[in-house]
Amino acid sequence: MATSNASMTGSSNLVKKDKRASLADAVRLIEDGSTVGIGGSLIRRHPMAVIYEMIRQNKRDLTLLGWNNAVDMDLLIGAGCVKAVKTAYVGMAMLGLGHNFRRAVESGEVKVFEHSESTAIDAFRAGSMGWSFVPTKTPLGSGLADHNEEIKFMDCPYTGDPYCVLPAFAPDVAIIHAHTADACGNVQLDSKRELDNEVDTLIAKSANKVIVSVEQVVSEDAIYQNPELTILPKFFVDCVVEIPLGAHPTACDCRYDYDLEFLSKYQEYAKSPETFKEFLKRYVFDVDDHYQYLDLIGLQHLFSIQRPKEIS
Amino acid sequence: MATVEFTREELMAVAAAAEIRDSEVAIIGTGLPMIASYLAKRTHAPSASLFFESGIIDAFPRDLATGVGDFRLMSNCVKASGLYYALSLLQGGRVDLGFLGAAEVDQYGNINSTVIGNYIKPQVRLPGSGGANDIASLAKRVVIIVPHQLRKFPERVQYITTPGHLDGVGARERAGLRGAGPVRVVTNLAVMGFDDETKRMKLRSLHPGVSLDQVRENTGFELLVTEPIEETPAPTPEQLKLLREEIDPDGIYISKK
Repeated sequence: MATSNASMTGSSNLVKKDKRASLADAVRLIEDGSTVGIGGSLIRRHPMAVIYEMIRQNKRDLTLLGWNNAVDMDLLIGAGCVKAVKTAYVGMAMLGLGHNFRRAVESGEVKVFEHSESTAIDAFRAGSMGWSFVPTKTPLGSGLADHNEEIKFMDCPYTGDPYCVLPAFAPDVAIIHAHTADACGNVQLDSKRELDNEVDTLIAKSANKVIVSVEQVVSEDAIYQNPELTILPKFFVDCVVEIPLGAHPTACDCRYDYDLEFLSKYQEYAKSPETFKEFLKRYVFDVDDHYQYLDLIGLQHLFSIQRPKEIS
Repeated sequence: MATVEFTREELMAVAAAAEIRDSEVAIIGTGLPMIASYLAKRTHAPSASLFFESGIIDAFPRDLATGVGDFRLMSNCVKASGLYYALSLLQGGRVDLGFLGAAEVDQYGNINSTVIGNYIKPQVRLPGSGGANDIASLAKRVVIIVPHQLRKFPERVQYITTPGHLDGVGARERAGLRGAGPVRVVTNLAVMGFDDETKRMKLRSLHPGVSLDQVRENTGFELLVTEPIEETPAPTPEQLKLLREEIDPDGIYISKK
């Protein structure tokens, strides 16, 4: 209850650490050559504003970790930021192949460490638990075991049953997009949401540093009022960046849908490296920040992807 | 022989539906597997638990979903969870049946959805496994639904994204995989199974109007055949009525003509 909480935490003149940061400052935490765990799945709730800023800041030689990726990884690969990916999928869902991903893998520019969804998620789970590896049945007999040199074989020490083992994912930085957080870094998701957020939590918990972008920064009181919505308490989080529509063009649960029109346009631009450069110039380099990017998309169009109220 | 007209897709939906037994747990995708599963649940398998890879169990959406993560699925279901939960059901051996599509499937039911051409220097890099490997490795039985084309039925896939019977009888057990692997392949031409002795793909039935030569011309390996060859059972009027009027009335996944 609010009153007893006030008495326990003491007087209001004690100042708590404020983890709010500008987008540019937050992204400066990501160093060239680091491993980055990306939250979200397929074309849903990726931290896209953070990703655009990573491109603006010309990050290089990154290893990207995820479990089901789309425009997030395809963009960073097309912008030349990436040397390797470890994930189960990089594609554009109903819009077909990830053109930048495809080109970069075919030319040998980007190395893929093959995963299935469960191996990628279990690697994050191992990282979140502080384990160095995790056993799995999934890759047995498949190309995963043959072609991902990190996957090895081990018999169960108790039953002798064959397993594959994989090393934990422990990214230098995790980037996650959520609905709300307070200035201290307590992160929440709306109660009505697609429920793959469990994996976002594992990705954050497995990382050394955690950057969370949110649709809205809220008061600490708002967190206290709905504690069941908290996915990450503040001690996991290094900085909070407030960016409305920060997942665009991917979906953000009940708040807005994926922007199919924009994603289709993206696919057209991505068809060749030359036209993709035009995309980067127009939507990334020629805009100063995410608000200018949103201006370019246009208010009318952004309203058209808002989720209907009756679902939320 | 009934004179009711039906499409190949309707026939495929009925053939796939027959693989779901009552009270089973089936992991389904969108498209034909979803239509087939809902048909099974409305006919011979009312107690089946159908769950999408996205962790949504027994959804009865007001409109047909267009993807396993479609928000519409969450409006009316018995459990809304995440993919992490769905994968834990697979890992825990709780899933009886899984449906998979394929870019390529070979004579042992191994599927490739990772590369076309050589793995190291691919001609085309495809998106990768997603959850397909998880389903094929961990479900007790797998049904593959794929268009019957020569290029999709090579003798041996270049890369095993999702393990079938690997290189023959006993191979899954030796690798340490649980579950029986693929049991059926449903195409627009025929229904196939796998030979008990060799685990090679074997014709079970030809769709009405399809010849054995037609199937052979579109298969890149020697398909096992035992005479006499059966015909895939035609949909019943009840099944067609359900498909056309209740399960997919707008013909989103199965065309009516």
